[in-house]
Amino acid sequence: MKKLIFTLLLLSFSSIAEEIQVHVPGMVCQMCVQGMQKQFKSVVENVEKDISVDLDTKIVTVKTKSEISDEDIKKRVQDAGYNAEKIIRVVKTQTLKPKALEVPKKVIEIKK
Amino acid sequence: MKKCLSTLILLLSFSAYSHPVIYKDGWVYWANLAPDMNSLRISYTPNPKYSLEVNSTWLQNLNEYRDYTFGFNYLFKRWLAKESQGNIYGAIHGGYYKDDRNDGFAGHAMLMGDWESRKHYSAASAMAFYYNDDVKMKYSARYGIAPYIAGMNTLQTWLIAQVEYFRANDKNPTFTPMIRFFYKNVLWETGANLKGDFFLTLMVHF
Repeated sequence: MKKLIFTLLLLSFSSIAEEIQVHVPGMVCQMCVQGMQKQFKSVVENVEKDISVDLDTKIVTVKTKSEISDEDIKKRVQDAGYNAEKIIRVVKTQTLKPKALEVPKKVIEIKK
Repeated sequence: MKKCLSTLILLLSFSAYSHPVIYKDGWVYWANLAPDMNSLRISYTPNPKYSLEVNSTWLQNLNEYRDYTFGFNYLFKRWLAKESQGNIYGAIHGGYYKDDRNDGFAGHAMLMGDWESRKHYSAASAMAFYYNDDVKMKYSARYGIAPYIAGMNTLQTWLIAQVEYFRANDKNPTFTPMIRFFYKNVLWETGANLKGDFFLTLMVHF
């Protein structure tokens, strides 16, 4: 019973996050990065952390908790001026710590 | 007079060398600064196929020339290869000019093509400039090389050589070496031609 309560409690503090990888040929410069960040910013929490563009592999990675269809992804890439060639989805479960359970980051000096 | 007019055309050509059309809902704020001239430009891209632009130019030595134009830029074609891209753009701008002596319609039309990879950059353009009841033509080409390959949100650097020919001046083409930096959403370019005409261009994308 205790185990069940603990599991339920843990699940209530977790959320499903998805990592979407989109292969976009032709991206060569910082302008492409700006375009991708602009088009995907509405589905992420933090643009700098959750959207990355690898100009070597031509892969745009978006970490999102929003549901976003393949058609929507293709449209956003087109709005950035490019074409999505391949879409890969990686579903991840992320455990979130409620603020009340967070250990306060405070340094306590112990005087001897 | 000829020098000032060629400076104006030169200045307009710098706006041609940024991508005139960017991503949807993208804004570009652009400023070109030189000791005796300023130019400001704002463009908005509602759709990745075209953009709208307002532009203002001031030239101290051309009888205090000022113009205010509105323009339409269009992406005719984009080729996307694995490691590079190519584009063909067109633009038509028109508006009002005023100087110490005259005022009236000013406008320009431009056709531009570019091709770039992460290491190489090239572009060419032809521009027709209408001012004071006369049409002038200018042709230019650029080649740039990146001394190192930069990744996302790191400083990108380009060493660029530009050659241009302004037919109204009836003389040899002008050679201008320059350096371009691009960091996050800010681009700046600086250089001087062999006659010593210095410029600084700043561009911010949102």
